[in-house]
Amino acid sequence: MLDGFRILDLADEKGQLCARLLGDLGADVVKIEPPGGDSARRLGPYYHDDPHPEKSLYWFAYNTNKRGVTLNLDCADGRELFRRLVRSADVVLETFQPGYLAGLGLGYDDLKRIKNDLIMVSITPFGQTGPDALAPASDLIMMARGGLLYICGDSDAPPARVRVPQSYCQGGAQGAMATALALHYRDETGVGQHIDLSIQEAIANALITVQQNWDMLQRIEERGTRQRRGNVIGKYSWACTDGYIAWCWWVAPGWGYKMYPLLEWMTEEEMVEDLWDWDWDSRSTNELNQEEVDHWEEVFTRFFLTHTKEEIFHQALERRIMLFPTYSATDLTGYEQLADREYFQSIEHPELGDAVTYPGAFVVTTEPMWSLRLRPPMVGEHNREIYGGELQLGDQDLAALKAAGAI
Amino acid sequence: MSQTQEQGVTRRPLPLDGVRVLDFCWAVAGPVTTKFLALYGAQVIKIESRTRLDGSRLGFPFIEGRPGVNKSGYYANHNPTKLSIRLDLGKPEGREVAKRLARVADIATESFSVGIMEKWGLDYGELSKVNGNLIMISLAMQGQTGRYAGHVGFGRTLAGLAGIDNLTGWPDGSPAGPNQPYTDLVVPWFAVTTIVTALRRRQRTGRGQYIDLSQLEASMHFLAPAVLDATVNGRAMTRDGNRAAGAAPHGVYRCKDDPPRSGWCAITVLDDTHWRNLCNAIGQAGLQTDPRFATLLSRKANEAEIDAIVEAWTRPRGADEAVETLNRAGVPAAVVANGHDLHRDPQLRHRGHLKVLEHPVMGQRTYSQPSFRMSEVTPDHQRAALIGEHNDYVFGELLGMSPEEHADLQQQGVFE
Repeated sequence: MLDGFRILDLADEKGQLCARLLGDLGADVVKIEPPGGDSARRLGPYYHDDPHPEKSLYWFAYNTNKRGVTLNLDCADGRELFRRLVRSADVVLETFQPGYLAGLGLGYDDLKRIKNDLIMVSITPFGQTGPDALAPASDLIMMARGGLLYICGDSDAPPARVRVPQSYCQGGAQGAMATALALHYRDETGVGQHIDLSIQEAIANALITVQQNWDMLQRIEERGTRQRRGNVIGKYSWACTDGYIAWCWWVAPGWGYKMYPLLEWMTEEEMVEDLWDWDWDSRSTNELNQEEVDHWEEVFTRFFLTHTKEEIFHQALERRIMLFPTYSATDLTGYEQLADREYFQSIEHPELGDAVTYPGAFVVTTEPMWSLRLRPPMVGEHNREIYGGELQLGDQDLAALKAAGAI
Repeated sequence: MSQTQEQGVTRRPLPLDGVRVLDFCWAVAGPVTTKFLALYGAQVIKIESRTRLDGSRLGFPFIEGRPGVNKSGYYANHNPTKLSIRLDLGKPEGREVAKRLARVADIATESFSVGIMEKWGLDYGELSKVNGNLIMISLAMQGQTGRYAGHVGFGRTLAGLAGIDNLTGWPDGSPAGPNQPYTDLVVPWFAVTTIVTALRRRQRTGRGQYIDLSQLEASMHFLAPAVLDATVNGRAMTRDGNRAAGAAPHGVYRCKDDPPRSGWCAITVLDDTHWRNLCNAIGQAGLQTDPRFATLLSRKANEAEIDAIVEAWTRPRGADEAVETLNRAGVPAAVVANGHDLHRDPQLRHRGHLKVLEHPVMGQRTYSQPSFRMSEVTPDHQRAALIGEHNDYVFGELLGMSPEEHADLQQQGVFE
């Protein structure tokens, strides 16, 4: 567990999953927002569709297990408070434009003088240095520059992104991994360090073979629901009566037998046509030609269009067909497998007079590791607890800082 | 101690120096997890056999386009710096050797379908009998328990179940998520973070543990706002092209380039300043005062019209030229990079993102570096091992097998 580690989280939406993930594993995360609140509070969707900064479900999703304070780094009193917080911190996480914190006298070298073994994690669109380090960015821009956007969306339409910003998640989760490694290194050596994460590179690390295909064969991987498999292109998404399923055919020595349960089902329903004529389990994918693939796919297309996605999934479960339905988030909230594992976790939001149900443990462990302890903080909710309790500022000082716009 | 150190090559200390991983993983999510453990200092011993290859050795692309167990770029990218042994787990003698390795390991990793490790007597219950403080992680599609845990699957289709495909593409098109097994490159970050944290816990408590990671459950955190929209508002969020609330225009536009360039650029106008800058940059200053586009709400209402105007400007231009013009004017824009564009991206080049490693069969190839640079740590990035390349070291030096025992097991085909 990470209990005992204190993380100061200055990250906006670009890096908030980082500290949340570490908070899930026990770290004490203090989310620091500018007065008025973090920009992620302006991202939807919203609780009961009310676009209020305390009701952003985007904010909720990536800020559980954190306490929250407000702090204005653009004024001297705010910076002084931050320096005092750094004294007891293990990690400072930030997503500002490169050079911003150094310009305020709060760069890694400055903070290291306050806390010698500090770990600082900077998550930025393109990293701290380089010709485009200061280039303007957004999720779509980072998805584009990292190579993931090009392979998203239908083949006959422009590239289209994943609706929930993946650049923020990839940057945040890979940042959590880097932070865990740096904490472990510090445990072993006593030495802190600065981590410079580029979200563009985080997206490039979410590619399976896009760069290899160019490097090795000067081949471009394309988007769509059909994928190149050797010399042919095969389909992965199939329409059914009420949605889609995800599945692909297999032809390979020792693998093609995985086709048999589906072919048997199709036989029972008299829709298999001539598909038994092929020797699925002994030919190599490399020997196929597109004409035969197109023919099979027409037969499969006709078959799947006669069933609902749940009918197909239930047959797949019984017959062991390697197939999944294409689920929406509401399908997932009703999915029995997740219920069996008690995946979803509810926590009270007293300010809403309601409990909110969150995605739950990403690991189930025999020793305590993951937990949902705190709902996301309201703006400045823990100012008094942290500034008053830990930094021992009196109520009068707090009132003065508030009046000056420092907190 | 890693092989490089044994060979007398000195390098800077790494976070996971002295940690040994017994790696039963195959495909992508597991191997990428152990890739990162290896890059940061762990000695990862990857178990395969000729009869049970890691299937990704047969994954495209192959060097010169022809399949071969040591020719796959798919495999090479996800398995650097690991030691490779051939050990037939189908034979009882092979499983006994695996247990001997577990005795000297800190971590065991596996990503088989549920029940396979148990069938072999190599599940956590058995391995923890020979090594009481072992940390073991399983990375199954849907975890080890629950009514559908045993259902077989793979990453390309799991992205369908996990809700990612459904949220990608156009409202009138198919669910069209990343055209690859995307969840395989979501799961490893959760897995590595957990494993490193478990090591820390073990140092404090002296106890190992078993970690059951469901690829589905970890991946859903990448869609958490959509999950909350379902649990709170009862809504099934749907795919919406490249639209973004609070921004217009916000999309991808066709450019003039020929292959191999992608021929697309992304433009995101996030505020009124960006909008003014865009109007000026595309020589349409008059649009600023056009009531159809003057405010965010009017631009959102007429977004299709704006898209047409913007594309009329990008279409006769190369993406590089369009992006440079727009960036200079202060408008966020970027080439939508394909594999070719990644190789020529100036920022990635500056960062040294693609590292060249020499491989005896595949020659000099490029490999992606991690997304982060650590000021005190340089990852140990070495080419992927040939299958069975480290049999002698692992069985001889590490396990201390006598030549007679080695020959005897060899005879029985345990090292095939």
